[in-house]
Amino acid sequence: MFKPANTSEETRRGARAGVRWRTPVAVVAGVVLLAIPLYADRFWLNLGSFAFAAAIGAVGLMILVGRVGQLSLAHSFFLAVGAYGYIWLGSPAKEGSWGLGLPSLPAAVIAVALAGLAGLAFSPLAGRLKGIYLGVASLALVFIGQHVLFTAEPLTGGYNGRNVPELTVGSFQVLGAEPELSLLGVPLRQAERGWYVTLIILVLTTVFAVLVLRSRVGRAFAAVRDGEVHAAALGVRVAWYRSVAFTLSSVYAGLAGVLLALLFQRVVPEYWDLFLSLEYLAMVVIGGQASVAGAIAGAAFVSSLPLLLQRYSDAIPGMGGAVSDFGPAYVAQIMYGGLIVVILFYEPRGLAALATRARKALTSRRPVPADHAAPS
Amino acid sequence: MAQLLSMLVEGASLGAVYALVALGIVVVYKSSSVVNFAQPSLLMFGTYVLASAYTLHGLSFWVALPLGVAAAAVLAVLIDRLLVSRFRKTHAVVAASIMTIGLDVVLLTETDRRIGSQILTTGDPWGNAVVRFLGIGVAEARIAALVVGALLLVLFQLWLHRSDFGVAMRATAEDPETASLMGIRLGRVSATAWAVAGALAVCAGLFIVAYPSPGLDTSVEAVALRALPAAIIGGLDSTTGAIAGGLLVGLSEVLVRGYGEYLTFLGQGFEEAAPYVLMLVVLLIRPAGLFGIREAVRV
Amino acid sequence: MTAPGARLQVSDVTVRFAGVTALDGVTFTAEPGTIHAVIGPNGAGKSSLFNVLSGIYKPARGSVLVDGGELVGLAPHRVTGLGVGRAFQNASMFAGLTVEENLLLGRHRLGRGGVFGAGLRLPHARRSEREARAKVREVAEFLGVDHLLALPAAELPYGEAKRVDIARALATEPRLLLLDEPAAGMHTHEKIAVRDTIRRIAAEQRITVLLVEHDMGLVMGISEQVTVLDFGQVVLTGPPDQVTAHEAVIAAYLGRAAEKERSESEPPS
Repeated sequence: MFKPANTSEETRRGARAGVRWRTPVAVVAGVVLLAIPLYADRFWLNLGSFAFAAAIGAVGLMILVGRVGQLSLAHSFFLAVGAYGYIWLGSPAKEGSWGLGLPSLPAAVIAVALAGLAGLAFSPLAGRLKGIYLGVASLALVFIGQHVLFTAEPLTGGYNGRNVPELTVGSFQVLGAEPELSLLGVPLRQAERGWYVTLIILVLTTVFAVLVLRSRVGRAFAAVRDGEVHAAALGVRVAWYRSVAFTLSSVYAGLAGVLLALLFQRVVPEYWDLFLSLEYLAMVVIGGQASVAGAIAGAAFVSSLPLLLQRYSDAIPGMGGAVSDFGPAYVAQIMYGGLIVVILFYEPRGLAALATRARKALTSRRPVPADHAAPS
Repeated sequence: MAQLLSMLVEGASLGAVYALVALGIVVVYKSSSVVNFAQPSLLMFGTYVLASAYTLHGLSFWVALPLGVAAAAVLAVLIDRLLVSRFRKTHAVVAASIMTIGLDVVLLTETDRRIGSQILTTGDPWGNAVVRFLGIGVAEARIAALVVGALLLVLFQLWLHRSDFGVAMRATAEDPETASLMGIRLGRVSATAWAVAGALAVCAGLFIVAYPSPGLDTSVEAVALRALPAAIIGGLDSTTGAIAGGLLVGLSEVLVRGYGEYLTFLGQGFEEAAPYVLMLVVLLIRPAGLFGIREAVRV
Repeated sequence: MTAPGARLQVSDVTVRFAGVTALDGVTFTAEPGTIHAVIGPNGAGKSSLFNVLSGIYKPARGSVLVDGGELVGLAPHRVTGLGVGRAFQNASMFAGLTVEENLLLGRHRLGRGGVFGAGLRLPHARRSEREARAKVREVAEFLGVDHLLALPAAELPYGEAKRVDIARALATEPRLLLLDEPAAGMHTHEKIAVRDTIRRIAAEQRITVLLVEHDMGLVMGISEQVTVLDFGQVVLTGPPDQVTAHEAVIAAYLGRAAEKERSESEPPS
């Protein structure tokens, strides 16, 4: 199916030479990420928050596409289930709009579970259909979802959209400015808190994903991808693991959906369309399909690109002004689409392959330790 | 009764159009095991060439039509030769299919930009004429779609079963390696299939934008995309299935729209989701589609 | 690892593909702890038989008992639960994984821990993983592939891959081990190693071994019983000396020896 993915490489590197120099890199990266809100302005912090939230969704899709070899184009549907699940559970009921008025934290948790349940409900198909077939079948969820979102006005507010309830714990606004907090003299308001909250959740969910992928579950995923008949002959329940991966990826999508809704503060149905699914697919493909770090990098790229183009469009020749045909949306779409084509054509392992090469180039300058020599 | 009859005619006509697009997907799948997600963009591209040749460059319909068909066919062959063929060498058919998704995004973004907010017409000979029979009125273009669609489908099936290409394609679908050993040139089979897919897409596009629809605008791509559920419903590896799937999708869409007043609980505009619901139901019962054959296990 | 080998009773197994009968009333018994070979010319139905025994094909008729438990009708992943392990003809490694991970997949059924167990590092999952790694090392040492554990499976040479494949089948703790042409494509000295390995598996681990193999020297040298298939039917089952002396076997099999070299790998369609 897919080219042999980098599962083994990551595990091997993690187990051997990598540990020694992964740790300092991770520490430096961590310090930088934690320090950025002390220096950067709102634009960059929002950019980061959206990228972190999207990265959670991308990691979920990567597990399904890259590690199990199952295509899904329904990611936007599960993002929407998370987002609207949260809105429904967390908003008070009013004339003409549904709501359960739950406290916002349990509402967020249950909304993520709802997305998982929706994924589980699809398992009769997610378990039986393979690869690209599942991709086409999953298109159905996007179109059914879009229909429901536009029709169910009490849930979504129809074309005009609906406000997203704030996330509060007691009187603490998790993504707001009250009560006042500050770090090293820098006040932590909406943008700063958005950055930290999404970053922490991204780190936790990424660790969870890496642990799952390194476990017997992750090995079963790879076996289903690399040879389902052989996997079954070893006692791996192929359909079960396909459903598990689909459900897991919908949970990640649901969580990303809740966070995106919180960051947007107001959501409209048309956002959760097929094109959004394709954006997530682009994140995964750009990241190299099977790499956790790649998916995160891909998400950062795809989610930031339109915002950066918007901000700097005046500086880019031919793009300036609202009158131009070649607006930021056009350029961004051509770039995702084009990158999917170019990366699959030249380097199916995407950004992950670039990282491997860079690492090799750096390590090759050092003497090779004894345990590195290949056994003959 | 008259209402049902006119809906059936309209549904069959739309179904024949979907069948043409779905057939393109099936032919490409059979000859190269790639699911061509770029088929809607081939339709948009070719139909745009046709419509812009007529509207913007003032060419006659009979000149513009072959131009549009040829443009889509050439683009399809280029995609196959330059991009897809390389994936075939490594049997990376899933990657190739995902690549066509990216291609679809690029092509649609560009055609959307060119179309912008315009609505382009093709100058087809049927105009807005309406035929009346058995107490119903049906747009002449819809009758033409049904007739031309049925004719193309029959010709296509004959060609597939009688011609060397047909034999070669079916042998390739069965077992590419053996076919190749028997002297079948896989590259040529696949290029022909892509060319046919592009040409069929434009023939379908012509009727999708004909009266009573206002013309070619960016919403046509959502219509073209419904050929994918049509192909899946029939079975990706079955040309008969593509025709059946196309008809089912066309009929379900028209009937759901026509009886919308009884289906208000499903919400307005459910006809756009109906083909996809139908696809899910079919897949639950027959995972390989109505006419599809389950892949044999080889160890 | 002293659980005794399983008794395999194949009776009246019949498989048809689109009108072609691949197996026709195949009946034989493999006794616990013995090495039992299945031979026959190309297209005789050996691979079809193995596919029935691993639950991949459902026979039109017949039964397969493993220590009295019915195998026919079970999904492939359930067949492992009966104690049937299989090494494949082409030694298919999961290319994206290391050798160790491939072997760990052999332990999959015996392990514990799902998504939450792994993601939250719950004790039962960690213990299971530790045990699995220890067991895998043990099996790898038994087959002399422990030095390969860290390698990506895709980089293994063919001969090594075949040994790892056998190790992976052994890791499932089978009581019946199916070996599909373990010596195919190997040099003489490699074949000797394979022969010794099979003998050790049967002798030290007391596992019943069912073997499909074209190399007559190997088959006759290690098997206690040999079943000869031709055109999907059993010609005879008996000890090697009886088989080599049997005229029908010489006619059916050795007479056509020239055309055999490549084995059948798929059903006629």
